[in-house]
Amino acid sequence: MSAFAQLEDARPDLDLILTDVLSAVLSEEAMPTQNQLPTEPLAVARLAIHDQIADLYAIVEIRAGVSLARVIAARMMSVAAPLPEDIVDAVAEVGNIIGGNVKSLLCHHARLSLPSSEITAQDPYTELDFGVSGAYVRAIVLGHVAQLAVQPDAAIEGLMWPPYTPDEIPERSS
Amino acid sequence: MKILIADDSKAMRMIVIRTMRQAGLSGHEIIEAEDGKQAFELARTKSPDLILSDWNMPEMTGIELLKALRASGSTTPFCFVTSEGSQDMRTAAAGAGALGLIAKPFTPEAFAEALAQVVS
Repeated sequence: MSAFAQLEDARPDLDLILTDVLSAVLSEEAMPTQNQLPTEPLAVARLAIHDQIADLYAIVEIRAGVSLARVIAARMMSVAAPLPEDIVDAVAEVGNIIGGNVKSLLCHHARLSLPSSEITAQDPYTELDFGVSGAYVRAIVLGHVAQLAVQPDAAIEGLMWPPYTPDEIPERSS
Repeated sequence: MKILIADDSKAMRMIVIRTMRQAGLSGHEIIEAEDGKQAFELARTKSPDLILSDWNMPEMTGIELLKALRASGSTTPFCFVTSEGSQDMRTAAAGAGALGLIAKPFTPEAFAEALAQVVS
């Protein structure tokens, strides 16, 4: 069975990962919420997990309003006014931390792509359909909402991967 | 003491430096690398006393960096600072000769504990 088959059951753990990471990078308490994302421009980080046993991919995506992303960058980089590239870097690293924790939660033999991130007024990626096999959770911190989504079988085009290390590649079970 | 920090995120390199300070491990010369390949070159030319490295990086991963260093004869203490803290990765890190693995998100206490043997 794919490691991504029981994502709905993993929601409490996904909640914990999102709140833990936001709390750590901001040094503020983050709580699970059902509130909506803001309508302002979004900072989006995206990366993929490759389940090497089942040869399946899942996308991990983090979304936050640019206001929250600016605070994250300022705290991570200890600057009062982060530049746009600082915000993109900080959000990518938050995505990387969350993606790594999601990978450790779901898969034992898997690879993690490098994160891709951007600030956009428009939804930059295909809208994810969480009703079938994906899951998403949201957290509120400093009055702002951030979202973590995990979606199996989403498009992975455009993502970069770190170099293969031959002994990291496990034998397929089939 | 000279410490090489390898991570493709500038934000994370800054957090590592700040966390070391919070852990009471400040006052050291810091060298930064943006990927494993650059870290390997800096390790050869700058002779750091400790290397703190991310695992997933472009050009050369952290585990490739560690194996390349050990193959070249380097015995510089090496610790991973990575978002993937599974037991498999800890075993792989230890098997390749790493001092330890600090999982992100981390605390100053995690740094102090992991690096107590080599940093004062």
